Amino acid sequence: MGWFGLRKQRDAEREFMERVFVHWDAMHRYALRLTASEAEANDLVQDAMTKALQHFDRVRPDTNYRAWVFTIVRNAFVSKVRKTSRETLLEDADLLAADPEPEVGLALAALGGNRFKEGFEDEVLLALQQLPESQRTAVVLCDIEGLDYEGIAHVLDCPVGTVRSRIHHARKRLKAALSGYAKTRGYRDVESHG
Amino acid sequence: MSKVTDDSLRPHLTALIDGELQPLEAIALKQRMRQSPELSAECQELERLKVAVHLAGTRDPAPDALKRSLEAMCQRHFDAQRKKQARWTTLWVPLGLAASAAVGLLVAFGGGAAGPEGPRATPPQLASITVAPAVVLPTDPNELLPRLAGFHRESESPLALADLKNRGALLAIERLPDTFITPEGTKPQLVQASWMGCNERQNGSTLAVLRADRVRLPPIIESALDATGVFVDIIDGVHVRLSVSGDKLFVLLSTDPGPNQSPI
Repeated sequence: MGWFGLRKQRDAEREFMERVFVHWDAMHRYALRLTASEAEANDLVQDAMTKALQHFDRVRPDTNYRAWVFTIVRNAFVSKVRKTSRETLLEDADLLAADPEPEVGLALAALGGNRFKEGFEDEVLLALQQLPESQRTAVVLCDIEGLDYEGIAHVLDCPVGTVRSRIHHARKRLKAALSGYAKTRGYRDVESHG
Repeated sequence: MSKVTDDSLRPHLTALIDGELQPLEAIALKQRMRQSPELSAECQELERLKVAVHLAGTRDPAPDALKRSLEAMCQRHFDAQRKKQARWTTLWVPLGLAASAAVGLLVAFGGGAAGPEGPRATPPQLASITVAPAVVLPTDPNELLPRLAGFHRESESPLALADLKNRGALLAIERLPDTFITPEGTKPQLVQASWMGCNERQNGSTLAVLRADRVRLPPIIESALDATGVFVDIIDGVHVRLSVSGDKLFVLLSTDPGPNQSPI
């Protein structure tokens, strides 16, 4: 390979590592929230990183790389789910129809009593897991990964207004699930007594 | 959830805590909140929920084995690319150089008249987001974390952080219970005392919520946060975990558990 070619190749490699690879752990966090399984999350991140490697040379330099890698992770997840049909990917209309009556303690019902011992943060993660995928993605990318609504809209491929609505409905459900947890633990009484 | 609160305002509350409202919308909503304690309480509850989700989601570090395997995968890809490019260079570069020279001569002797430009290849449309310039406190970037650590160790009074609060950089700072219900849990747990409204059983960690665009941090921390969203260190014996969500910087401080116990 000529010197120019080698240099260009090295620059591209360095750029990939600095702009894309650095997000490997954020990709893993998001993948874990999507799959709820460490092994599946690892596979998903590997798939996504392979796709990122293949398409990196076609990405515009002013791209929000953080949003881009989450888009790849999500697309990989969605296509995998469609193949296995394991999780139902609901449309917004279905989600809104289901939303007015959030089930209090929804997360708890799926749990069984012994999981209480694992604490509040596990409960939050479990409540997140109960959300429909599009709402979960919106709230995870907003609250855990710190993406703004525009970035999330790119990942979900929807308007910013839809992102706002999804986050609103997701938080409503989370509140209901976590209130159920507090109630079951008897914390409502503590709260009301100050 | 209060029935008094106008339902149409709730999605706006969500956008407000995410820093996604237009300035005028935010002012109008805050004015409304001042008149309505229910709305204000709901907003605070949503903020606490956001913090709870953030802390839970960033609690467990990603496995190092995955990082090593991804690095190896990238290296294999790069090696393959180099081989592919080497083959391409050997075959086509001499031919391309000759063709370029011929075109160059044609242009030079043809009076420099260039043909019509063909359509330019458009790269795929991908996300492009402009970051607004930050308004930064003129403080020493190295002093923020030691000050917060001092507050956590109670060697510094809360008044020492007054300048940060007055300038809108420090949004909240509170002490959290160390464990929740069962200290024998497999992983260290944190719970937001104010979210659950429960009694604090013992002094534990401290959580500071700052405006990310109003504080300065050492470049090494800035770049770690930009890259991964999380930074962990031990400062003066205090275990410090920084993470970013939207315009908020969360600093979680806990007393270093020592070499035999896992940190938070």
